[in-house]
Amino acid sequence: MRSRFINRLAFSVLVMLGVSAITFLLMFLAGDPAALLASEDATAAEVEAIRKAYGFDRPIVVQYLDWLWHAVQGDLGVSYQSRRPALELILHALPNTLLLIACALALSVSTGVIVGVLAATFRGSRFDRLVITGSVFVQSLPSFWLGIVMILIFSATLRLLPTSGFRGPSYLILPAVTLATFQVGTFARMVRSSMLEVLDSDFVRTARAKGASAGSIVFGHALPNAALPIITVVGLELGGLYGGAVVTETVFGWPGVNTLALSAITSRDMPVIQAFVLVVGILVVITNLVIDMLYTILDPRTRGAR
Amino acid sequence: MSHATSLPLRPQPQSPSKARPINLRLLIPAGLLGVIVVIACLAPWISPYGPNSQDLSARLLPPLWQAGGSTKHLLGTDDLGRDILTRIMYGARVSLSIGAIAVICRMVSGVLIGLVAGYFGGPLLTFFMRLGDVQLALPTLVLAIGVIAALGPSTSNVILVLAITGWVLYARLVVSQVIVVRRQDYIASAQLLGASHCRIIFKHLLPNIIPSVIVFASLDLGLMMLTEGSLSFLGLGVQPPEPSWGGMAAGGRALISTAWWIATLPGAALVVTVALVNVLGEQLRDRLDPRLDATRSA
Amino acid sequence: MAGYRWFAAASLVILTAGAATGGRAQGASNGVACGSGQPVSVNLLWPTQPNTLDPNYDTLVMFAQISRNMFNGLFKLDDSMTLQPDLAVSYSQPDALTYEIELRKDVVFHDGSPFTSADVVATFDRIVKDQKLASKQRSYVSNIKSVTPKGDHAVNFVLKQPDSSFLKSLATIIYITPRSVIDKVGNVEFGKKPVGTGPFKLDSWTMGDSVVLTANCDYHGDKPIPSKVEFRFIAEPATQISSLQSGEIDIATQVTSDLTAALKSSRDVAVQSIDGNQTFWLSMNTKEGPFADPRVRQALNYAIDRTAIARQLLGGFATPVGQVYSKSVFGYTKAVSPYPFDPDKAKALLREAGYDSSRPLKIEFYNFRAELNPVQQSIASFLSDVGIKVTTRFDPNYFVDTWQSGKMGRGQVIIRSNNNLLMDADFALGLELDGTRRGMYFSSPETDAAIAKARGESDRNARQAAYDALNKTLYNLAPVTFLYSTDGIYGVSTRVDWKPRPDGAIYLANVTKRR
Repeated sequence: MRSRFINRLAFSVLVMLGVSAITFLLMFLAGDPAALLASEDATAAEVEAIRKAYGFDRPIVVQYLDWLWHAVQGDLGVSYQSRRPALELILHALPNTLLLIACALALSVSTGVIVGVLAATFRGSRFDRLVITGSVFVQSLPSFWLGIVMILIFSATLRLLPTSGFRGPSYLILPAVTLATFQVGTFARMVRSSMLEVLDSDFVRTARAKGASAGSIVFGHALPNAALPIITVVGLELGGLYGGAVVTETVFGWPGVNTLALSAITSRDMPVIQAFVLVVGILVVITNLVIDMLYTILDPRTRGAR
Repeated sequence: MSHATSLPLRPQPQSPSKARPINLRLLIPAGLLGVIVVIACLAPWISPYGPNSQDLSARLLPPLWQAGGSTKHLLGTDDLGRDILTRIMYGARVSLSIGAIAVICRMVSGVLIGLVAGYFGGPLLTFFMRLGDVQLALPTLVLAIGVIAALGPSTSNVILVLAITGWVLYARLVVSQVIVVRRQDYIASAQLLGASHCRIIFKHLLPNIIPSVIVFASLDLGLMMLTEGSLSFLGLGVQPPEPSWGGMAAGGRALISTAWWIATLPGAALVVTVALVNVLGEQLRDRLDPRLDATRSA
Repeated sequence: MAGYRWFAAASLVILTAGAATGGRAQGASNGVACGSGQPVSVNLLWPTQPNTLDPNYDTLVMFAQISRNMFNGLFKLDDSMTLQPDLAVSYSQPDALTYEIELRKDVVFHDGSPFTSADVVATFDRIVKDQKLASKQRSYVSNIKSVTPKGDHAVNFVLKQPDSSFLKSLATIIYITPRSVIDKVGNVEFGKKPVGTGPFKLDSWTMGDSVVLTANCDYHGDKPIPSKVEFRFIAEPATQISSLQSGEIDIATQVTSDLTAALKSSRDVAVQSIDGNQTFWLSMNTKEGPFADPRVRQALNYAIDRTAIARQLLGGFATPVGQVYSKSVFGYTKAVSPYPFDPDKAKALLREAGYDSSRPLKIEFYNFRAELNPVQQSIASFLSDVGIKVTTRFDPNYFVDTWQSGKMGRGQVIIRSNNNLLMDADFALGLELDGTRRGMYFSSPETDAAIAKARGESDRNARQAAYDALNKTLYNLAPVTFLYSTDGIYGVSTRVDWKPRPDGAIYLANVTKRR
């Protein structure tokens, strides 16, 4: 297991390198950062001077290797726009994004598990059908639309909740619900089908035959066994959420890494973009490793096999 | 774009034991979607106005049922006095065509790569699968904005971004099936009989994987429409004044408290369309490929 | 994070209460104890956030609002847009190129260090020479040949060309920064924790959320009344309005005309508007391609219904113009009225120039600011109505990448605007139409000479007459498609005693707020 772990880690490092190189190239193609740094009516000579001062006149490979050399030493460069360390900017915004994601995930997992378990337990009932239809429906909701509609209802009309920024717990409610909604559908159906699979299995039938109560079957037997696929799905969803919350963050003016990255991209603030890609990449890698380990620990089949 | 990762995670199919007569569950959504497609196709002939014809004296009219609404503009007008209903009709063209073309691009490139890489295996397979890993680790946003900043925002570049981010999913699905199929006897006998690689791939492997690819693609369509909407909402997709549902929502967002209909109605059209597409996709899966599960196929 | 903010909010209330009950020993010349007023919160509506609080870096009007409450210039414009000394005491002008300026002796920076001529010299040096700072204000000081200290409390400026708007640039763009602090901490640190001479000093800067300033009771002028002022960075227009209605902010900026409707029904909030200093036009390459023909440029001017745009799309908060600055700006020519809306004449001019339905004029119409999308689309619609084939594009970087670097192609048009910071005709003319400065896409020897002559004219009336003549010439040449100037529109809490200014500057030191 350890060598597999190390292999994955080594591969992840390679992936990160590839990702950072591609990002660098894409942003290089996007245009000249010196022009954006120059004053409104800068002459060509002034732009050239800025290009030199920042080293944009060097070949892209040299620029990339230079960046990489510093990155290895923990220096991700300084934002062209704010002149602050790029990593500092990202790490400053990251807690907000993580908080938002954590709340959204807590909301969607808890709702998804409850709804999914109930649907599976009362399979074929009206409630079950409602869950199936409802989950298809929530997965058809674009988050930009859901966000706007919630702002319309809860802020513009009812004046109950704030809509933008982050100055207290109440600011968290609308964005977290928006972000969670799509996932609730995924989780509810996932839980439902894993539960059904387990409920159909021999050992549950045996338990039932032995006269175990419905409650002990669901919570004592089925749910623990269905936990494995649920964890996998949660992990995969989480991996996509770090950088995937961008629409929600934009709609609610959430001061997270995604809004930061969006503005860095428009101003071609390369060090900030690179730091964003790197930090999000590392988070995804860590998440996947943790899920992988959990999987190995929890799954009786892999426990013995590897 | 928070939807982007969710596709492979579709839950397991409902139990196949369910009774399935030729039912209304398939016909009703198919019929409704058909209506939307027809409206999209016929928009220039059946829409009451031109999509970009402004009337500054009829700005911000509410929908018919609200005080101040008029029968001239059933769903009201936007800040330039353009008819919302007309623009929603034209928006259907944009949303459906981009969704469909993007899915076809993703599907064709992914299936080809998957077939070839899966059939030959070895370093070729490793290369594409590792490339796919890198691809999936790159935030869609960065990729989208990078491509669009480099090439300029346009409809074709939206499709390009969607294709680039999607081929991996199809390729993984295909590879997992090809690896299983190619071990079977009839492939070996075809090889012994001297069939060319090309013939084996397209005559023997391709037909085997088509059902699951089609099901996967039908579920992908809704997601692509949502992603296009999000990109256009962020200003990275279809450019105004071309009426796209996401772009219209972005344009009306600032006026949400005074003219709610501008931002919400186009989004509602997207919700309805995607929901119909998804319901159909689910039905299709139940029928064609009840065991499709992309999550663990890689 | 959230916890910290709650704590800050709580301590703010305590401080205010303390100030209100205990009072301050220090008397203020305006009769109110320093910092005894309620805190005031202003939202600066802008798509981006400030990157640095260094006042010598940016030229963005929005973020200069923070600088002008924390710093002083050598001069300032008073509420009637008249030049007044600020850190200066007086000036004399021995010749057209030389300004000798006496400085105040009683001024200290927020860190206690005294303000001297060395700080003035260092401020200008920094803007011109510091490559890493790469100040965007550089072009506004490019006409200065030298700045030299004359003892500790006087400086001499020598210009390259005569410029009667020079002192206005010292009053509106350049704020004086402390040399000793910057030498010690460097540009980056200074941008995070700026030290000025102004009525407020930095309390805290929460990235992505707000900048809070606190009253500086050692201020050399009238003591500031609010105990604190807060600048918020809510970027969503609708959110700004709801924050104003809920009392979270007191002044909302850049309110769009459509959103004023939402404010009119409220008793706690009022809409305040004033003839502003922002003017819009379409800029195009007149040196080559279709726009080299003045008839085509005139056709564009006749094709657009400015009155409909100003009255309906912009709710009456705009005024059609036939020049590149608004009537609140010095040098405005009353005798030049905007082009009338005459689509037939536009079509006729296009036909004369050789364009008709079989060979239509094709243009690419760029916009780089999302909030102008409705106006851009409306104009595009008017242009298509006279048979022009318009492709609209939105590209946030078009201005810097293409327009500013002189790469604008044939047949390309961009909607742009100018905030006339100096409230002076020369500012707009120099930035758009002067071949010796930024007139990359239009210039002629005659108009260049006329602009230079008017710039150097020291007599106010003679200068106005020069601009009147120039504007008539420019109207006929149609170097741009003239559009409109906009009002400054603000949403203001009725508890706050504050009035907008034509130049859009927000000074908060003497603002009072009822509980």
